[in-house]
Amino acid sequence: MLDRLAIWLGRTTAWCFAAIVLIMVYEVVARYAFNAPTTWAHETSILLASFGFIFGGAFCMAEGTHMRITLLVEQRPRFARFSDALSLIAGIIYLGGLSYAAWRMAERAIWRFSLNGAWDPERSGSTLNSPLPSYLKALLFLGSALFLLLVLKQAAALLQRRSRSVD
Amino acid sequence: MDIGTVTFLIIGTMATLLILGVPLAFVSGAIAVVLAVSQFGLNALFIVGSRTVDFLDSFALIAVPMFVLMASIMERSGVAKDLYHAFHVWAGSVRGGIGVVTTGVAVLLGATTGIIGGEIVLLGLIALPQMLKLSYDRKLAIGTITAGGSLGTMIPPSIILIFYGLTAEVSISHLFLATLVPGLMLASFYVAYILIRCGLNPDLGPPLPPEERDMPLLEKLSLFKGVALPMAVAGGVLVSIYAGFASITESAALGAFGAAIAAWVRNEFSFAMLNDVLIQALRTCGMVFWLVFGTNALIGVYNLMGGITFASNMLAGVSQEPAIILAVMIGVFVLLGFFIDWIGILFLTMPIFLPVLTQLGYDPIWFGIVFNLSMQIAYLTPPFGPACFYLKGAAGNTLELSEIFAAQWPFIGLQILALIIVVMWPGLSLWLPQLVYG
Amino acid sequence: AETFKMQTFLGANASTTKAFEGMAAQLAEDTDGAIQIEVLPGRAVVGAAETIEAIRNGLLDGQYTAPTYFAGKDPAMGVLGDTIGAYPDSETRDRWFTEGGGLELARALYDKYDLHMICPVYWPSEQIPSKVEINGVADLEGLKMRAPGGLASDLLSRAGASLVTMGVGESVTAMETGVLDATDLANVALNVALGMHNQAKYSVLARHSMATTEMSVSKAKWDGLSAENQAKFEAACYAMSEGLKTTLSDEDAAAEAQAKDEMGVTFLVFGDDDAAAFRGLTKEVWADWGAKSPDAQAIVDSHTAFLSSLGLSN
Ligand code: NA
Ligand code: NA
Repeated sequence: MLDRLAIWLGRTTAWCFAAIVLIMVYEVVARYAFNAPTTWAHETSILLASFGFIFGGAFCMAEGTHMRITLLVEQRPRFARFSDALSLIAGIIYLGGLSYAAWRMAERAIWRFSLNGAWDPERSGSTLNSPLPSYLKALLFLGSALFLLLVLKQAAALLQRRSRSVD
Repeated sequence: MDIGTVTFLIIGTMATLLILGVPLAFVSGAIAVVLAVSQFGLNALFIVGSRTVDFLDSFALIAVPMFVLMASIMERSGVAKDLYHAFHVWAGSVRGGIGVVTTGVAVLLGATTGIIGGEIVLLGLIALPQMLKLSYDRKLAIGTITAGGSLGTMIPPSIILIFYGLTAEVSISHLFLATLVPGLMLASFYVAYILIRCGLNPDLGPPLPPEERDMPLLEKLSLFKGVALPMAVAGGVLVSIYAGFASITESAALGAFGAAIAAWVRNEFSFAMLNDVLIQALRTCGMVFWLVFGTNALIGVYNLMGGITFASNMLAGVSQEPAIILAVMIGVFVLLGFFIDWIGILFLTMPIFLPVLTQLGYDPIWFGIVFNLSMQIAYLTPPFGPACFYLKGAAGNTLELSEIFAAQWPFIGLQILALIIVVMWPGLSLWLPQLVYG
Repeated sequence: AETFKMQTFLGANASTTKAFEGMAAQLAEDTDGAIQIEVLPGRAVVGAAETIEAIRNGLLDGQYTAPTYFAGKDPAMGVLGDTIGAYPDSETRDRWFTEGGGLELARALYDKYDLHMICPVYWPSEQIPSKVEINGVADLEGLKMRAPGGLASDLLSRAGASLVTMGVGESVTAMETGVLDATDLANVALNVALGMHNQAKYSVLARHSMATTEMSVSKAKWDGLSAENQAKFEAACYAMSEGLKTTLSDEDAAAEAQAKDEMGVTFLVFGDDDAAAFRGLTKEVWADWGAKSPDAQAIVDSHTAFLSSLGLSN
């Protein structure tokens, strides 16, 4: 279920890259044909690409394509379960820390209001002054939390297998 | 715990976790989190998050998926196969000819990209399957692609030299010219190595049988008909960068767009194919960028712990002899290159090395090339070898990481040889910028 | 002894970083080791836009940086961070801090972030390396330029420049290849050092950007210092700023001579009419940015009043 969600999200966000191609083509044409480069192409592309970069982590976890050095496990298959357990522990530590940090950063960047009560998220400070930093922080939280959930799910499955084999 | 002990603990833990098979995406990140929380408390996790966001907020990164798209489209649409067939016919009876062609393509691509990722994926998707189909030795083919693809930062433009120039406050144009001769020298080492190995043992890189390559010139020329448009696209990327039409990232996107048009003209474009290549781009980025997130976080935590002060004290205590200090610096580049990526090494070492280096009277332009060449080695060395990761990212399950790493050693040897030459003869790097800019 | 971990905005080899290290050593000596500053180069711990958050999280204790990095977090920081075309040079602008009530306003703003601003630090007006001759505002029309952050972008686009957004690193290649006609980078010395004038045969002082830099520390840490040590810290900060005025001016002069003699670079300065036109555009940009928050408006008003006391209100 969770794996399917991560795969589906990955497949969907991959289309962001296609959008970037079109935006860049538009930008170059606008610059040369009309001498009017856009103010938005740059920050929009960074945001779109970040979707792919961030959800790519969970996508590869669901697919099982994250890189590891398998030399030792290949030579000594007995280590396989130990190696898996260690991997999941390291993953939980890293992604737990990252999700927590991203949550707090996103909260501070997004949960801001001006004196008259209008929503006032942290912005990029460029000409466009888009809320890019706020979006990136929120996106990083969502991406790392999903990644963490996948690791936790695999850890639960490993524990279950272990208790079954003890029986 | 003092910072010296922590330093050795970090390196030891990292090596242990990598060898035990922990995914590379988790290793340095987990160490960063443990260090941050144990040394400074929960608030310090801010560094882990903040550095990741800072890394993501970069337009230059987008070139990676764009080059992957361009390469995957060319590979899926059969262009790559046709192209390599034509090369093979034209290479005639030369043993290892396709290896030489691939290195040549790598140098040309290197002139368009300033990064290694996109280029290796491009070669891994296009050249590797072809070389294997043409019965090239697996190790030779793999090494040609990882080492050749790494030339992307050795031939200008180069993101490494841009960052180095900004850090050292030296001319980036000078750096670009200075790296050109050492870069071409390294490429020629690879070519010589392929020709000698295949010359001695034709099984490593067999030429096409005479009956398949003997054809009239007109027919030989017509082999290029189907690939003319895609090749024009690749050429167009090169021109658009050097003629100042578009920035590198934009040119890469234009290249992907052009490749799609070329595939469409060849009647090979489909929705399913587009979906596949987009996912390939996502997979490569997910695999590779998540490695950098963790390392990047670790560097911030280490610097906060006083890593910079510790390392500069260490360096000051080593020796008074300039040549020895220099040798230690290069040794540190290579050693760190086993475990972290170039940007991490740059951030970690340059604040310490640069002031010392200028004081000793060494040329910072030349030192930039020494650094650049050291990073060529770092790309290939296990356990953290970005070039190998990118190839694995492109090749998927057809290649094991251990096989990729095992193929690197001869090429690492050639890189060390080039490094020694560049260190011994600074003039090799410096004459071209002097000639052009006086 | 108190240790202050302070991150600065440029790399380890920059003159400003070296001046900061010199100041740290001197201050330690003056206070008999009571104040120890650990100088961290730019991006050593966090990115430039995140140092305030890092200080509030208790990771860093202070910073020597430019408020314009925080323009996206707080428009008042943007307005404080760059006075663009308002003043003829940064020495005149810095008088706003001492004579025009600027320091009180800046300190009040920093106080909201639990920071104490110790002193503003001298930073020269930025120069535009260009491949084409730019003699006045009219010549900016249609010119392809890298967009700087904050108020300077708004000023240049109002002047008609076609702004292309890209990083500093990419702008170097972009100048070389011709994507850009001109770029916003830094002062003359840094532009020459980075090789911007290999292509750009003009260097233009348009006063498009006149950034402020400052040194500040966590309020809690500052309040923990004795009054005597606070005074010493402040004196050291001002002394560093004075020293930089000489160092950076000398470096700029040497770089300018080198660029003229060895690279054939022509130095152009906007005349009085164009300076006045830019000041007019600055007022428009200020009107926009001032409307974004009361703090920003207060800084704009204070500058406007000070300018008219100087007779510079057009
Ligand atoms: Na290159
Ligand atoms: Na390595």
